[in-house]
Amino acid sequence: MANILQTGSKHAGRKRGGARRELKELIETCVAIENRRFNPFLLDISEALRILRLHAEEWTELGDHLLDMKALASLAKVVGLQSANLRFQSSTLYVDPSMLQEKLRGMSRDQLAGLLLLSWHPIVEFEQLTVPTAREALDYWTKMLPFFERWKRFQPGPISLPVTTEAEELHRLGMIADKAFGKKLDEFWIELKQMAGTKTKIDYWAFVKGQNRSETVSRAQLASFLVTYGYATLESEGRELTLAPKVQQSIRKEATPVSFPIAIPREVK
Amino acid sequence: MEEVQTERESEQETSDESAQSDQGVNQQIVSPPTQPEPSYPSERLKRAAHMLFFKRGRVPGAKAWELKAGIGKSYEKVLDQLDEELKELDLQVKKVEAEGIGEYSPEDDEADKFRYFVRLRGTLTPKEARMSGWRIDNLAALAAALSLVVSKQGKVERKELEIMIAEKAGRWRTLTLTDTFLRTGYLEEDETGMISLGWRTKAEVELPSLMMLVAEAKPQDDDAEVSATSSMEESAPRPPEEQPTE
Repeated sequence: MANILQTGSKHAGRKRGGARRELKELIETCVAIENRRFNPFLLDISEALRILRLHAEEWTELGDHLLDMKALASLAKVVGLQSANLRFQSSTLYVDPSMLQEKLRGMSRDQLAGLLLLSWHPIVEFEQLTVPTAREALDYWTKMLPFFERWKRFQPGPISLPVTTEAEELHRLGMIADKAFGKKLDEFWIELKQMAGTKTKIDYWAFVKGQNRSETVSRAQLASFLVTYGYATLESEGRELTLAPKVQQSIRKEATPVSFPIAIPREVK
Repeated sequence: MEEVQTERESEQETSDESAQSDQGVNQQIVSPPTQPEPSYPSERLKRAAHMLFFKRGRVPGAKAWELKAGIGKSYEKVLDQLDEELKELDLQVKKVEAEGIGEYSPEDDEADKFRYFVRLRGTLTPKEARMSGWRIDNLAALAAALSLVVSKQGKVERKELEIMIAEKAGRWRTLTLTDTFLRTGYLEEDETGMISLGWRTKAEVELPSLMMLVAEAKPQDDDAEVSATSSMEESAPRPPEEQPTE
């Protein structure tokens, strides 16, 4: 009797071991499917459930029950993947672009990179030296001048040490303005008012024209700032342009700013 | 070291054999040594591997007609055999339509419209990808670019694409990255400035899988990015041991 019981328990133990192995294999398959190694439809769900049911009554230990639960949870994930796969297949690669863009925006870089890595199988390619490229390289090498010969071409000559410079010199070179811009604009406004005198407006070109073209361009630029900042108004009547200085600076905030390009003709020096 | 000894031993044996054969000529005891017959299938297999692995032009791999000329008419059987051999190394032979690679015209033979590549059978982990010179930003930008092009049914304006890439890789790197993707063949640009999928994408990326993954994914906060990186590296799948042959 004891022998029979022992044989029976050995048999049950062997059976349980086989069942555990089956469940572990099932879990491994499910994990492989989750990792996109296999098509989710390669797994027969009803057969997998039959295996789970077959061994359900054999489990006595907590570890076995946990294994059973894990297998069931893995199967559920595969069913979910099958559903997702079907949905995707029915759409033939179609995903709503706006939804996709929203998703892409919401996803982190690591997440996106991870998704690509799961579907990416890079090509294996070896770069190698061929006879023509080797010949080309050899030709380049033999024709190349020695380092010191090449260096001579870039000899910068004696290097002068840095020296300090004065503000007048920088002004002469046109690198800095002699006065602050605001002060310059004020003086220009006063000049406009003086030139206008008792008149309300004066001819644009009469005011802007300088000693030479460069000065004319500078004065035209300052005149444009006078108008923009509300020191004067520019009026256009046919071909005539007039500037009217204001008594006080004022900008009409409700007005819409309009660009008014004025070309400086060649004849104006 | 053992190998050296073995080689030396074999050399010794060979020299002994040759000495014996010399004696044999005189004594007529040993029959003259016969040349081993060349193993044609393995030679063709090697040639196929060389043709597919070594890059000879701008595009890697080999065209069908090149393989036909180099291996013979039964090149497809040789490639199947090569594919079997490569399984062990987690590599596979992939057949891609040459249309889009700019080397196929409709007048060509039906079989000639394919190009063959050797590619990774499984996938790379983030760590492996980084070690092979890919930045995570670049991979993210490529994923975004490809999924956007697919969602727009294969074509998208360059500007729209650049806006999307800029969100993942930054504004300054976008132009360089787009050019890199175009140069390496992941994307293609036509004369109207429309971007489409390039030959490399067709050869390397499982687009249905990518699109499904993107569609299923739940957006993750950027704050959690650091922890996600480490967890991703731990849980990333290793290259599979088995995968259906294509």
